[in-house]
Amino acid sequence: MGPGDLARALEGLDLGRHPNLLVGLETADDAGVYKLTDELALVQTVDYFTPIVDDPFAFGQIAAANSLSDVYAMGANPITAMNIVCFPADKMDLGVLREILRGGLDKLREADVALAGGHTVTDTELKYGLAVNGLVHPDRVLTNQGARPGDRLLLTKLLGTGIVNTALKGGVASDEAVAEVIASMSALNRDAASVVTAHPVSACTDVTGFGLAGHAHEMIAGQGVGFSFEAAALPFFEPAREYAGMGLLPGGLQRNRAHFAPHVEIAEGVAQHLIDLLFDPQTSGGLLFSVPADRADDVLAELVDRDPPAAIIGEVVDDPRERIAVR
Amino acid sequence: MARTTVDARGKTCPQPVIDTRRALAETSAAEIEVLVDTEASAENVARMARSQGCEVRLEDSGMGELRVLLTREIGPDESDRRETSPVALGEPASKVAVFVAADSIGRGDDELGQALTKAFLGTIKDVEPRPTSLLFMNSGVKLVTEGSGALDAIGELEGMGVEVLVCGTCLDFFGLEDKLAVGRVSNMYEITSRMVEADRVVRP
Repeated sequence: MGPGDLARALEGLDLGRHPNLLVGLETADDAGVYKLTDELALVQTVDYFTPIVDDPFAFGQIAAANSLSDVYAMGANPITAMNIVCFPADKMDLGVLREILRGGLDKLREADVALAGGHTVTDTELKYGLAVNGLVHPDRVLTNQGARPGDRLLLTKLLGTGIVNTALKGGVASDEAVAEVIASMSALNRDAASVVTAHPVSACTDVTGFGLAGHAHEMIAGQGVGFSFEAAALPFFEPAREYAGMGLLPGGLQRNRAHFAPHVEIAEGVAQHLIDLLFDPQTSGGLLFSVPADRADDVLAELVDRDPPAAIIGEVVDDPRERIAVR
Repeated sequence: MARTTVDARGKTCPQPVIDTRRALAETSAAEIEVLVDTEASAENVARMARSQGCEVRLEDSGMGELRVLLTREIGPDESDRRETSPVALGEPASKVAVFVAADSIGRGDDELGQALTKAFLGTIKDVEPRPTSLLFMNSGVKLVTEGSGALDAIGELEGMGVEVLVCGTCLDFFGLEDKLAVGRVSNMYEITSRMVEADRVVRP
């Protein structure tokens, strides 16, 4: 659902007050966090979507990686998961569902997460994803709030999955581009998260459906700080440049742009494809986090040797307040 | 010039963009109208069209229907996107064959005649419509062989894409078969074909 619609649906609802709920809906964070004891907090998240790629096994892997990502983005460790399946059993062969579930299981095994069950409904449209539970120390929860002026902003993985997937749908994407994007979407954010949690990171989130601009906005809204992005430093899948130029943009990109553009200031001369990439909805994207300037290089050094890659894309600023400046 | 309509209403992205791209490649229409029902599709189609060199105009009917009007520029560099037939360029087809049957124009004085021929060949490239083929026969073949004062002019015409055909029999007759300096050896059939196919035969 578009960010605008969701905001309107939630408006005015009384979410209640729970003293043990450390992180709830209000901050639009990646997962909910509930304190169980002084040492243990439960992390919960859910995510599912329609197929992005043709191969059911790959789709299963991507959906699982995507769902697990939100737990990693909180600095937590996923432990159990439950499948959510919507399947057109009357139209589609059950073998397809089997392959999707096999893909999901493959990722869960890699992440050392136990499949504890799931729920399947018949639907006209195929969807798959997971509800995931994780554990974290209550004092070490990484929220998307807390970025401080002077901190450097780092991003893992490359931007552009929305654009490349649209090109794929249009029959235009090259095999290499598709393979690169599939590998990126099915990659776990676990390794990156383990590096991030070992350093005094001030705020962290993962970049998914609202795009880089949308998730960055969640980090600064109501925080009194702003972000400054270096457009030329934004890492992206090279083929996305050409596809964007051809107008192969996902509908979600326009929706994100419509909703978040008022919070973004783009300098003159920033290339059109980079502007598109700011709003491009990501599937199973990387981690976006802020690190004190004196530790940024160390963190980058630890991440840059891993796969997926990481880059410093900007910094946290005082001005513009609660806006993202792109230069 | 016909206008093509692409109806992409009800199609999910990126189908409108793909359909537009196909229409641009497959038709030679100067104007293409694309109908879509979302702003996002209209913007994407517009971007695709601009990247292909079209001018774009967007119209919103206000009833959930958007029209994207693409206008293509027709110019000599568009030939890779359509047939090379001159009809597509909006000009009438015009095959002009210049039949040079002697190395001297007219009768009265041979030296004058030869000077006139040289001048004629130097002038014909500047007169529209330009020749499409130059045909040399009888003593005319002396103009395309070594030592001819008209080689520069004919060479220039050849460089402009004019076909230069030289009667082989005539070259042999004058003992000039090894002395051809411009154009290529041809035969009666080919030279006659050019004359018959031409819209106009110019005989200096």
